[in-house]
Amino acid sequence: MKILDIKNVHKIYNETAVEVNAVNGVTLGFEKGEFAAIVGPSGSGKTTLLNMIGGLDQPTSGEIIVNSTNIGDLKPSQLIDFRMNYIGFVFQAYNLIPVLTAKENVEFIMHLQGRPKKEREARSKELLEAVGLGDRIDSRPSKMSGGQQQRVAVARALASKPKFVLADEPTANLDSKSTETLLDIMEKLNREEGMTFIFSTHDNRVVKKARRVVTVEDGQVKSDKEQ
Amino acid sequence: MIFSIAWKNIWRNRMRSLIVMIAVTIGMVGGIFSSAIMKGMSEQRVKEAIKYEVSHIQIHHPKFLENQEMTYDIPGAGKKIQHLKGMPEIAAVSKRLEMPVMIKSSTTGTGVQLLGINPEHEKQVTSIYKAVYDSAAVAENLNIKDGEKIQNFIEDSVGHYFDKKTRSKQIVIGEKLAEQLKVDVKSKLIVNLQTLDGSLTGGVFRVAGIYRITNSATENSMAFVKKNELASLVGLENGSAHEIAIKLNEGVELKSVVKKLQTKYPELSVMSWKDIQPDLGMVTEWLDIMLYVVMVIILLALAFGIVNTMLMVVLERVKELGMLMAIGMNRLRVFSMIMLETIFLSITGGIVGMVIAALLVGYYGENGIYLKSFSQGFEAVGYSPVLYPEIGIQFYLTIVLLIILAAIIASIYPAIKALRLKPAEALRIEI
Repeated sequence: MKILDIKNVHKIYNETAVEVNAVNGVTLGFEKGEFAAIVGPSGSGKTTLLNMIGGLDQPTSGEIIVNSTNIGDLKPSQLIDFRMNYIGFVFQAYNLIPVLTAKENVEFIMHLQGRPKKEREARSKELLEAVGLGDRIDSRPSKMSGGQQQRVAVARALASKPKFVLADEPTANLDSKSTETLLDIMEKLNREEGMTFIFSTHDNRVVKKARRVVTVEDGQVKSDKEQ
Repeated sequence: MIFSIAWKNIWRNRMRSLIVMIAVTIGMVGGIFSSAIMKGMSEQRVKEAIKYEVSHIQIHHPKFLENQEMTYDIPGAGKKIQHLKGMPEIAAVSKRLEMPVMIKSSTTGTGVQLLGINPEHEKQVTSIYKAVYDSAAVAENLNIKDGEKIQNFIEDSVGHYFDKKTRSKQIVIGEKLAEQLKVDVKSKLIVNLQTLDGSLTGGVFRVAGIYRITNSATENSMAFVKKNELASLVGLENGSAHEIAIKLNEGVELKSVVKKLQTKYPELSVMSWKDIQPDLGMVTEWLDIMLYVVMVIILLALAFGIVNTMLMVVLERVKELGMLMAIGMNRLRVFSMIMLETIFLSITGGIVGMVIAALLVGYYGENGIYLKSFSQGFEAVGYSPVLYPEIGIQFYLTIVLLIILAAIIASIYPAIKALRLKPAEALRIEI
């Protein structure tokens, strides 16, 4: 059963005089528990596609349906709630809150969701242990390596128990070893927690790990393979 | 959570936040301390006016106030005095006769307000008697150690307050008047005045004492004689009074007593010091408003600096704000976070400033600030050259509210800037 249905989605940016068809008629479906990579050169539209799935951007035309709701129909305030409850983001530049510790960063989103303190603490501890940072829960991001920060970011993305974890080039700033560790952790969590992971990447190491690879070029799907 | 993030955020750029805090601190210390000086001056003026000049409440025949015609005395004054003395709110009462007279010395003359008083009663209501004896301190300052010499000095220079019996009638005048008339203690003065039947008469008085208060205008225009001597000179009955001056007990509310007396004596005019010297009442009330105006202006100027800082904060953190909005922080929370940061930034400096100001006000409130070079000017308008700054707790509380208000206003523009960010774009920005 599809939990994400992308139907003939277009995204046109016309902020400048020239219209840019960032996404040009994409139709895709994702099922629960997938571990998929959207691959393509820069400018291919993969980040735009990911942003639209994540409710950071809305399509110019077409439909993105999650749980029988079309994201394109949501009002800005509803979009925020949608992101908070359905999506976990992992960014290229980690983007942790620098003044908070690893644990507080993971708890933050649960705090926004209004979850009780006990639950927040238990879940953040559990997740940080799962990403191998059980001994760093009270460290601030500035005291951690890039790989460690990105693992905190993954823990944060999962904290809200989202339906999807969207990662925009999560390994772009990491060395091989950190990348491998991160991917192993994500795969493990994907199996354990059953969330759908979608990456945008042009990193071969990520592509190799993915169970499904969607190739995008010039805003269109070129290939869609299970592996 | 947002509280703690906001608080931690202001310490991310320590130097910049400290500069803002120091600016707020200096603004607060300057504003509060100068307000306390002005407030202290005005309070002192009021206290002295009550102490030496007007007392708390005065009662007159309403028509006496129009022209000070001596026929309008207070009917049944003696009985009323007895009743007033019995009231728990009232500390002391003094009957006075009052009339405009001409005073002449051997060289010159001038018009003054002459008050006929009973020295013993008057001592309980006003402190002019102290203003005579306090001058004795001058003698000590002159290093005259010998007791007898001090006594002589006092007798020669300032005299006494109707304490010694003499054959001639006594008058106590202000230092300024003495200078103007070129007289000293024991000099003779001729007082010309109208009698009850309208004819002119005169009396010879000897200067018994010279008082010195901070208000030169009063020193120049108010003279005191014994009530019975004045009464017999103009032909009034000894028990009659034009004015009843009332001193209240500490902590008694002025307004309520005035109201009570007004109901009790509807046929008489009952006035508080604020009505008697409306300029004084107005000055204190006006000053209260002006002090807040000054503080608002200082805070407004500081607010612009704070706006600037917070704009920098938002600009620096575009990416982070984008991330926060992406993961689900709604507009209200983003707005609150920026606003709380602004409030913390302002209130920290504000509280430090208030503590320093409170210490300064406390210290100088005890020890006073002596403005020697301005003393003549101050005294000419009735103010003491020694300033005792004071300011009420309510002022500080209002300032806290004003700082928070200024911070909220200062945060609006930066917060709106933050809200206008689109998370998808903000996340892509490289700083």
